[in-house]
This record gives sequence, structure tokens and C-alpha cells, in this order.
Amino acid sequence: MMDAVAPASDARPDLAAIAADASGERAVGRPSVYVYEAPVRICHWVNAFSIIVLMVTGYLIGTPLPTVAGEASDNFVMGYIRFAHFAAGQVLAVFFLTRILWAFVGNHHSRQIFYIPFHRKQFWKEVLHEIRWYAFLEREPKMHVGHNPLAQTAMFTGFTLFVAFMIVTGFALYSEGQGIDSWQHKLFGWVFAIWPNSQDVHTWHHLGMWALVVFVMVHIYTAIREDIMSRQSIISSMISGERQFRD
Amino acid sequence: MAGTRRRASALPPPAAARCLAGAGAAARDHGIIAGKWPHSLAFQPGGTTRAIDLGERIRLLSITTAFRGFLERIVFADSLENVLAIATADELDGWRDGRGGDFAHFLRLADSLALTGLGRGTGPMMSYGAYHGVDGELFPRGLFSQRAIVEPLPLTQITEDVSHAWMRDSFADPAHSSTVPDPDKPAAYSWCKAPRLSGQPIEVGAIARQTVAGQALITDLVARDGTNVRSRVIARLIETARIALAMEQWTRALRLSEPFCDKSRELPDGSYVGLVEAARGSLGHWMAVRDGKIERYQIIAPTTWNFSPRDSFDVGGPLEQALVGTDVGDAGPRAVAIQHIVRSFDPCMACTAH
Amino acid sequence: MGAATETFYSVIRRQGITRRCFHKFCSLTATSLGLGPLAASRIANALETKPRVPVIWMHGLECTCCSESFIRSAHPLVKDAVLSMISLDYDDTIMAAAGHQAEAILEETRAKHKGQYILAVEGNPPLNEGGMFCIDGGKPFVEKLKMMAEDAMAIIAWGACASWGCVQAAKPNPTQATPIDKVITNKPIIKVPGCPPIAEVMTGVVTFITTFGKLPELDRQGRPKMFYSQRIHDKCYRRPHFDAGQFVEEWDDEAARKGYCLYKMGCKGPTTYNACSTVRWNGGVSFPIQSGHGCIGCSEDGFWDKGSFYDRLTNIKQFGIEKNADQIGMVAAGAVGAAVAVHAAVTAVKRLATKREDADHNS
Repeated sequence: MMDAVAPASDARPDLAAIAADASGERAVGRPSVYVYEAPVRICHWVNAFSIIVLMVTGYLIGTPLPTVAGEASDNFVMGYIRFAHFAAGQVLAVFFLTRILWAFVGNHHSRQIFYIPFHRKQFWKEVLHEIRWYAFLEREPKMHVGHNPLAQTAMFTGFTLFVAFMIVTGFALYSEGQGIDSWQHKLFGWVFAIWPNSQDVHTWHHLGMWALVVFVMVHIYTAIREDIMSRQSIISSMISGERQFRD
Repeated sequence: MAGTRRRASALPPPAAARCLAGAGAAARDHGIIAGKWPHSLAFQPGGTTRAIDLGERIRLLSITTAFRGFLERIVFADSLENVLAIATADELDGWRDGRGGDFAHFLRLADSLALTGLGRGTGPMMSYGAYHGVDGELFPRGLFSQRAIVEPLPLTQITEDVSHAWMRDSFADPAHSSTVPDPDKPAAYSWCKAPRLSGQPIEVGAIARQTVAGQALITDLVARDGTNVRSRVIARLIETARIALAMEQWTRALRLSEPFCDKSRELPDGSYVGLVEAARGSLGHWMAVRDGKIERYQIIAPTTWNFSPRDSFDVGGPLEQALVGTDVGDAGPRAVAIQHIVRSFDPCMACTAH
Repeated sequence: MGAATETFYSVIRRQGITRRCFHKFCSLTATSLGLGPLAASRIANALETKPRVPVIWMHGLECTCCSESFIRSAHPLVKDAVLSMISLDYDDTIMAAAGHQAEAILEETRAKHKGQYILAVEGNPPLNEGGMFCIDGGKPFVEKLKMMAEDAMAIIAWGACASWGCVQAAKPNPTQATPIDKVITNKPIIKVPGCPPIAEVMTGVVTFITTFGKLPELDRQGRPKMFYSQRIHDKCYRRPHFDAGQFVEEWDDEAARKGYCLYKMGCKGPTTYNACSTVRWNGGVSFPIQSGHGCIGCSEDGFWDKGSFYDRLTNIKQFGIEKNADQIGMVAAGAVGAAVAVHAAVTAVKRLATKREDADHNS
């Protein structure tokens, strides 16, 4: 059925026929589809907010602000920054976990960012098509109800894997302050078996932040671009949950 | 085997134990100034990271005073001023008689073991100079030459000879030489290079420093019997007394409000030489910097000077010359004569593979 | 009966130490090891009844700083530990014996105290070229190490060299210097890292092993929990300045004199597990941070290969580049940002062109 796509501009195809998601399923035959359920949307925005807080505070932990004057007891600058970082980290962890749980309960779109269908040839064909579209080699984009295949790949690696990495290393680093008898250390202390020197864990955690910065930039850009270019709503979908198809 | 064990056991009590306590106490001074010892971190190019405050100066003073007390009670059994007032070998013999303390005990032991005749050295000695102050150095730089006078040190005449070392041939000038092992070299018998000053082997260490500095007692001892096992140990102890007194003065002279670090840390490209007297003798570092990075680095450590093997003229180093002719019996005190001689040079035992 | 079968108690009684003093020592030792009051009587009992543990102390590639540190322990006074608690039968650097006489002790200990002696190793063996970079008594050190490890009860890996490799194992590690636990795999090994370790930590470990006849509880990385379970940062006396956001920005500046936090000067306290900020150094007078210099993380794995001692963000060398995370990240973000901008511009141009084309087509 996927060969029914990429229509010539003069032949207006049936929307439902071309709006297929990456799993190759046919979308329901109406110009608006309910894609992102409420928990998915809530998780998205809470995680987005947490990640922004984590990036800013994380950077400031690595490169602290100029020294504040006055007595140590009058100030708690690093303390507040670190508190914000840890708090946002815990929130991210909880909502990331919630999001994983929802993948079991929610609709099939909610599972999309947790896997890549490696085994399906068609999927990779689609990825190639999307790459060609972004490289201006395709005149028309395809329509997708959920994430397009390239987006799914990007979401899985750029978001799911990276954020999981950040949560694991983050908790491992947090366990250092909590002590080796803490549950954090029991759960995440194995990270130090990989990098015995926690300086390395810091370094990789820091680099992970930059990886997420790159992800966020691409994520926002493509969301806006696709919203304009690919005849389907992207940004408003993450607020309303509805994906609308234009033209 | 029980005899082996008793002889071999590390640190027999109780003198060593007392001595360790004293040395440990002295290390506390170093702890306050530099945070930790060994491997202190506080030293930076241009000064130190440590700003001493009033309270710490008091602590430093109390530690140096306590160290002085250890020396005066345990080691010398006399005041440091009295010890340093001993100017000749005869005065030393007079001072020794009937006195307690480790130093006098050593002097009696040295006589009964005839340590003066052991490990004789007659060659030149040198000191790079140490403890630079506003009014000169406490221990000046100089060469105690074959003619038994102190001369200026010809610093450009320092060379390294590898004819009998398991090292590949390279330049003689330490500013250009390299240290590349060559374990199959036929004529070689040592991992030590042979440093030379104007082509001569040089003895370094406390005795060299004190002779160059013109310390009365040491100069007299060297004039009579050259360097030997006894005079080397005496020089170390006399030097300890001098430094203990100097430490008290330095601590009092600390100006606490002055900067402790000159922050211009840049090191322009070029060649550098650093020469200093370390505890065991003359230590030299030769370095070249390019693009802000160290391009080459060469070290001649004190033990390398003393333990030097023969050079291309077949002249041995100070230790080798001191060992020649030593009577090695297989029983009694002579059995350990070699150990006495080797240890009198205060070698860096664990790392003579420089 | 050799000296090694005597008990600690009989040795110190012979030295004229009273029973009362002995018990005082036991409670002090229990306290210094962080054990409860009951432990004092257990220690006393052990020291009265158990024969002293023979210890063989060997030196590989190292600088002897561990020994230097050890012999300056203030408490338990090193003379108590070295001279009475253990039977230090062999230590190439400080023993009086030399040559064949000294080497004979190794064989003797191996035969007589099979499976009962402690092997304390300072430094590590280089494995390259058959171990030829460290020859000890005419043999490669690695052979001597393996031979003595064979019959040892346990191995103490003194210092960063024996535990992690330290400076001689820093890249490119020409001699292939290798930490003990990579060479000896069939014996319990306790790592006591640090360059050098704190004297009181070393004697504390020896005291524990000799009194209880077993290794203390170890963490995931084989270090004794009682000394290595917290970071320097956790107990640093300058921690309030860290939390307040007050940092030294330059050596000997006003902040340095006020004793502000050294984080910005590259202090590795937040990532270094050691007891420096609690036990401190040289009789407890100070530790590096107190001397105004940041921690360099000398008890951590590979601390020589993490870039400058004076940077917080250490270098990443995995990809053949020597840059820190911020430098890599900023370049990556900059490149992607630029790519996004170009892509957006091309998109806009294309879109305009298409529209015009469509308009032309329709007209």
C-alpha cells in the first residue's frame, strides 16, 4: 500500500489513502485524527520544561556563575541551582517512566518512540524517502498520522536513548551525594563499574547535555518546518492531540 | 634462618621508632604549608597557593620548636647552637665524650667500626645552592675543586656520558640529550648515566653542600680525611641542625599580607634550566618549551651523580671510587661494609634507574 | 618458633607496655576504624591470642611515596603497627638486609606461612617486553609478584600505582604498567588508592586485617568502605562556599585568602573518593584543599589522563581529539544550528519558487 504515495501534484489523492504512519497502518478516513492522548501530551510538555531547566542548571553547575559577595551563610546560589537540577531531574525521571508505562496502555502511537522496526524493509525505504525530502530531492512530502519514519528514528535515538542515558548517569552521579547505602547507588552504582572514575561519568553526562541540545534544535526546527511544509499539523497536535491534514 | 630474619626485619626498635616520630612531626610543618606530604600540590610556578594566616604561623612555630626539641633531646642531647659551634674534629671528639643522644652514640660507633676509613672520597664536590633569600643563599652555589678550594661552578660544563650505561648514545649536553634504554649494549653495566662536570665525576649531597658553604666542622673533617662514611653522616646531621634553626627564622620572617603567588604563569617558548639542591644533593632539570607545551625534558638527579658508572675515560663515579679497596669480610662488621658505604651516600634506593 | 608466631600482646608486654595501655590502644584503634565499643574487646582478644601476621612488602614501578607516607602515620603510631602488630618480614626499600640474604626471606616465608601471609604491593609490574622494565633481584618484578601472590592470604594494593596504574600507566604507557588486579586474579585484593594513600588509612587497613584476620568490607571497586565511601567534596570544610556560589578565580586572590571553594580552579573533590577531608594529612594538620590547591583526584582511576589538573571539564580522548565536553558540544550545536539555518533558507527559497511556478502554471 505504501506505493500509493508520492502523488503527482495534479492528481489529488484520497487523504486517508496516503496518511499512513510508520507502522504502515492506514489512517482513519477523515482529515483530523486523534494521535496524542492526554498523558502523552502532558509528558511531552513536562519533559520539555524539565529538560530546559536541566540544561540551564546543568551548564551552570559545570561552569558556575561569578562569585557572589557576602558571607557564605547569606547565599545559596549553587545550592539553589543544584536543587533545581535535581528536582527537574527527578520530575523528568518520573514522567519519562510514566511515558514508558503509558506506552503499554495507550494507543499505538504512544509506542512509536520506543522502538525502531529494524526488520521491516519498508520502514527503511520510508526513512530514505524522508531523507530525500529533507535534502530537497522529493517535491512532495508524505503524510503521516504519527511520526514519520525518520522522525521515529530520531525520536528513538535522540530522545528516548539519550534521555535514558542522562537519567541513568544523572542518578548515578546523584547517588554519590546520597552515599553508597542509598537506593540510588544500589540501582545505578553499576555505572561506576563502566567508568570507575566518576569524573568520566560527569564528562559523559555533560556531553549528553549537548547531544540533547542538538536534538532539541533539530526537533523544534523540523516541527515548525513540517507544520508549514507537509500539510499536516505538528505543533498544535501536541497541544490538542488532533492531527489535522490540510490541502 | 632466625638470624637472617632478625637482621632483615625492617626498622628495628627503638631508635628508628623515635626517629620516625620526630620525622613525622617535622612533616606536619610541610602539611600546613603545602597541604600534604609526600607529593605536595600547593607549589605553583611563581609561588604557592597557600596564604598563611596568623594562626597558622603560630602553629608552624610550635611545630618547628617541637622539632628543635626532638633534635636537642633525642638526636644531639645539646642545644643546636652548641652543636653548630663545634668547629674542628678535635672539638667534636671533646663534645662527644660522656654525652647521650643518637649523634654522640653514632660518633662512638663510628670510631669502633673505623668508619672514617670506609668509603673514602677525595674527588671534587659541588652544590647548586639552596634557600635563596633576600640577602643571598643559606647554602651557596659553588664547586669544591680538586685543589681544595671553593670555586665558581662552571654550569655550562655539565655533560652526560653513556659509555657504560645501558643507554643509547646521544648528545653530551643535558639540554639536548635523550634517555633511551639499550639493554643489549655490550660494555654497559648500569642503568645510571655518568654525569660529569668539566669531564670529572662529582660527589653531591649534604657533605658537598656544607663544604661548599664553608661550614667549619665539615670543612675540617674533609680537609683531614676527605669524605667518608662517618663525615657524610655528620654532614647530614649538622645540616639538619642548621636547617632547623633557619626554619624558625623563616617562619618568623613570613610577611603574611604580601602576595604568595606571582600570577604571571606564562612560559614563553625557549629552553630552561632549573638547578636546586634537593635533600640528597644537586638536582638539575633541563627543559625546552614549544607552543606552550614541554618539548623535551631531562633530569640529572643527585643519586645519578653519586652512583655514576665509569665514563669513556674509564673513570668511575664517586660511589665506585669509594668502594674500591674496601675489605669485605664474611663475618663481623666488615660483612656490611659495602652497605655502610652505599648508604652513606644517602641514595634514592627505590629509583636509581634514572 | 619464628617471630611471626608471637602475638602482638606478648611483643608489646616484652617492650614494657602495661595491660592498661594495651586496652587503651585497642579502644583507640576501634574508634579510628569507626567500629563500635564492642569491637575494642574483640580487637583486644584477637591481639592477645592470634599470632602476628607476616607481611611481605614488595615494590614494583613506583616512587616510594606510599612507604614515605606510611612511616609518618601519627595514629596508630606506625611503630605500633609496623613493629608490633605485624611481622614485616620483607620490604626491599627499608629493610637492612640486601642481596641473596634478603631474597632468601621470600622463599622462607612462602614455605613457612603458606596461605597465611599478607602480600603488600607498592607500585605495579610493567608487562611490556617480558617485564624487563622493572627488574628486581635479577628477575622481572612481575614474576616475583606472581610467585609471592601464589601462597598469599590476601594482597594489599598500596596506592594509585598498584590500584589503578597511576603515572607510569598514563597514556601512552610505554612499559605497559598494569595494576595488580589485572595481573593477579585468583586472590582477594584490597585497593588502597591515593598518591600516596593517607598514612592513617594505610595503618587502619593493616590494623583491621591483622586484628580480624580478614579484609574489611570493600566497595564495588575493591576499596575499603570505611575510608573510601565518601567524596572529598562531601566532607570538605569549604563546602559552604560551594553551595553559596563563592569561588576562587585565581591563585592568591582575595577569595583564595578567604578560603572560598576551589571548584573553578579545577578541584576534583566532587569526583574523588578518599578520606582527605576527614582524616587529613601529616597528623591531621591539613590536606590539599586546605593549602589552597584543588584536589587532583589522585585516588581515582586514570587521573593523569583527564587533562589539566586545573580544569573542571576534563578532556575526552575517545575520538582521537583532546577537547572537553563544552568545546565538543558547542561545536556540534553550532554546526547543527548553522545547518538548520541554511536548511530553513533553502526551504524558503524552494517554497517561493514552487509557489511562483504554481502561480505561473495556473495563470
